[in-house]
Amino acid sequence: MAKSEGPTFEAALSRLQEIVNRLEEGDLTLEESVALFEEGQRLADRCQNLLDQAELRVRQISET
Amino acid sequence: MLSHPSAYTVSSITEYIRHLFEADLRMQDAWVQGEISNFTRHSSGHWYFTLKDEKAALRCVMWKGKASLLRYIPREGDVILVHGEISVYEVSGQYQLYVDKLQPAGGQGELYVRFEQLKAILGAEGLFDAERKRPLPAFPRRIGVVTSPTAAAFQDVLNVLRRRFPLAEVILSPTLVQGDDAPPQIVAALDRINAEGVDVILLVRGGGSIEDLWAFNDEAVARAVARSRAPVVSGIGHEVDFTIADYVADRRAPTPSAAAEIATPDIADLQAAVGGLQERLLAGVQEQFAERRRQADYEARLLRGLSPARRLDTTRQSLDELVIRLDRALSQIVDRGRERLTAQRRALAAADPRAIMARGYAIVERKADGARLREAASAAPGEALSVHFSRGRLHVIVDEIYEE
Repeated sequence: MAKSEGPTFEAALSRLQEIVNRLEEGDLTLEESVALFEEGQRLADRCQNLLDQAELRVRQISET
Repeated sequence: MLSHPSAYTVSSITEYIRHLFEADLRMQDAWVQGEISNFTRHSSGHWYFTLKDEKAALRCVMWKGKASLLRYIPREGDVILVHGEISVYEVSGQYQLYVDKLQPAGGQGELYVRFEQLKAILGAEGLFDAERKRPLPAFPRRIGVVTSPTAAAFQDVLNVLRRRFPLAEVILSPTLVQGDDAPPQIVAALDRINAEGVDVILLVRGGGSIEDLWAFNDEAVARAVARSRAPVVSGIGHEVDFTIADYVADRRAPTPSAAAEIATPDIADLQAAVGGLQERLLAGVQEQFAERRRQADYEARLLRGLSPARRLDTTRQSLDELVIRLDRALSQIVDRGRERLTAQRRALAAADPRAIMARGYAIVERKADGARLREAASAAPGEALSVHFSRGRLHVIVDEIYEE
């Protein structure tokens, strides 16, 4: 996971799930649902980018 | 044919003998040591052999399912330690030991005893209890790997992690994984990786002999696994190998690769999950708009129903209906009046004296006073009378009177 601005994959995915659940529950003003949708889109893009660009990092701690 | 009334059949007495063995718990949980002879590995996969010592022999059978798991294959003359239950093979009337565990006696037998003893001690302490097992994190960002950096097992782990969950960072805490120096190194490596702070630890080693894997049956190693802050997934040797470390670990995987799989989500699943969420996100917001539209339509309909214009329309309509009903009532009244008038006229016409006179009758009046004469005696001779016809009249003088 590249160190870049924005939430971790886990945090982004978890927030995205929350947003989808809220949208599916309804009971929102249109402004709220549009705002949630836009935030959800950004999070989904973030998740996809993290997955697409992920490259396993490996390091070794020293023996003592 | 004569028979004794209480004679057993061979089958029933043999079955009874078999029950005697099977009812005896010591016969059902027996460890026996002896020298193996007549060892036959049948093509079916079952093993048949005889255990013997200086004075006796015991027939043994080990079914394919158990035998196929053994790495150690005994040779004629080996002294072995077996475990199993004694029962009767009724077809030949022979009792025999049905073996489920088999190992060489002597050196490895002692290892086995040590293994069982340590397992019993740690088990009694509760180190293997299911309640101690911690759940693995769904998204391990930092994965600690405790193994030998040069081992194939480490490369196997890295390959799986690259394929499945490249979002992770792998931190290798290197250690020897076999030999007498291995246990203290494994303990130190576990403690170091915990100090580093990781989400999950993979304790792995590739396959090998029982002796090769022995470091993972060490008490200090077991206790280091037990005190690990991060949950530990063990993947030691192959599917059939169970070490004490496996029992203490939060999850036991059959191999190092499997340990890496158990500890991580699959990126393909994650991509699918994100895609699914995106679809639901879009559907969710569209539904919000659709719902609003439905609501607005509904309210608009309600509003139209409640508006003054609508009420006026309604009033106007009922007024119209009233007027129509009034018209209808009026014309009925008029029609009925007209009919009655016509009837009256007809009756009147029938009663008209002129109509009667037209048929040949006449009205006679006294000229002097205009009185209508109804009988001949009312007139006097020489009196002037008017005779009215339907058309015209006559003035006449009475000449003669004839009374009837």
